[in-house]
Amino acid sequence: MTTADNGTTGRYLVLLQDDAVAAGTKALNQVAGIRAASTADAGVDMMSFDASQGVVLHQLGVAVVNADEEQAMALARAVVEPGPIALLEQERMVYAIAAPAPAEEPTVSDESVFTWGLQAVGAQLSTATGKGIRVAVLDTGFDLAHPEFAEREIESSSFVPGEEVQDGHGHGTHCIGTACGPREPSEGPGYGVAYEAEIFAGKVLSNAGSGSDGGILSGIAWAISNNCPVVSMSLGARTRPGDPYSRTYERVAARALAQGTLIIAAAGNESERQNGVVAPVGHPANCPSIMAVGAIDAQSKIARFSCGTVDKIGAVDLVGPGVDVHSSWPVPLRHNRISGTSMATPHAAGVAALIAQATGARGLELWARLTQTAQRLPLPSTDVGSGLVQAP
Amino acid sequence: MSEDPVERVLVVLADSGLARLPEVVAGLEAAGLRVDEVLDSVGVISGAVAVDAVSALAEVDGVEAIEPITTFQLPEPGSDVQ
Repeated sequence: MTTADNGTTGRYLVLLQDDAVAAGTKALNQVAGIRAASTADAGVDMMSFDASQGVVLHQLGVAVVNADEEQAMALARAVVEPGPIALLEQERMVYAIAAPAPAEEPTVSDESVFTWGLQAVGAQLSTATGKGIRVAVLDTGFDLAHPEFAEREIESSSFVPGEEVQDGHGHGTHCIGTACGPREPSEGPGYGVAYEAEIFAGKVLSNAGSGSDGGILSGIAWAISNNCPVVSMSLGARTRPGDPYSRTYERVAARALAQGTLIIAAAGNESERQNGVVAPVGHPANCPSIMAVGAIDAQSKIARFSCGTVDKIGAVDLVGPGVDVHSSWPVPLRHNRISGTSMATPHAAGVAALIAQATGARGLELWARLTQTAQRLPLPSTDVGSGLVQAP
Repeated sequence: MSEDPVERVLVVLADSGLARLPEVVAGLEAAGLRVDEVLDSVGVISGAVAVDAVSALAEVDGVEAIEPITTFQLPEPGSDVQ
């Protein structure tokens, strides 16, 4: 076997049309005078190469052939003509894969037009807007009087006994801003991912920031009955290594997926990575059927507080921007800059809404598209899962 | 029963139990559950039960699991990390 300097072997790969292996094998001879043996015949394998001018791998519909310049030209002509020969490529040398040096990720710091988070997920480059997609954010409610949402379609419901939807904390207003807020607010950078999505603000945490499973599950049921494809839950409770996940939430999330509703939840903020402590993903994000979102900063480094995968269960599935995140806050402040996996989660939920609009995907298909299109990061999968969510 | 210590619980139904929800709810009430809410779209019932009656709930046909209710607490609004 001769080896060319350019990383090719001097041989060619000939792709045959589907279901045309026999005709293709014949065509190699007719077109280029190449008599190839086929692995469909007894005793023929790649070791037969030296005894013939080529080998047809019949199960793949690919022939590997020796061809001189004239024969290669003849094959190339056959590719563009109708017939069983579909494609011609030079065979390449392949090597064992060595780990490359990690590339330094570009830093996003210019927030004059859009927040760094919107830029990191590529939201500003997407033609999707979230229009027609209902996004439920289950949190401390929403500032229904916020001027930057005056024109928006907002449905709301409180599942906290004795409290209205109006956000007396701020956390819920911040999360809704990231998932569904404006791109051209009255002041400061655009901060909303799915800026034309329909907002479903479910209050499941009180103005003091507390809540319990009953209210949260009621909120999930409300989102399902309103056909929300995306539920964003920036909430969680600390778990210890070895804790099982909740069978209730797992069943609920699986039933939600079956009804076209994807639940995305914060991985949790209990790690202290500066001290070498990585805490497990919290409840309920540790359920297999709930998408758990960790946080990175503008340098694409894992946030020091972001929970990680420490057990066989409780995987981090994705990460989103979650450090120094600028978004909406109840008036009179209007905006606030805070950190947490709570801030990463609505970035993922907003991207999910964009993908849902662009592709029509729901449920498990939406989950698959989110992980499939995530930008891989040179960080442990136990910290970042499939990587950084990316707008379609 | 009102003097007894009670536990707030979630009851998640198996698919078989979800298919005959009213019957299972009646069974849970007979076993001592004071029902707060029935979430039929996700097959979960929340409620309160005397601590010594929790195990009886798990015996009701159509029930997959009984779990205690978890509470959640966000940091203060002024915190850097939330």
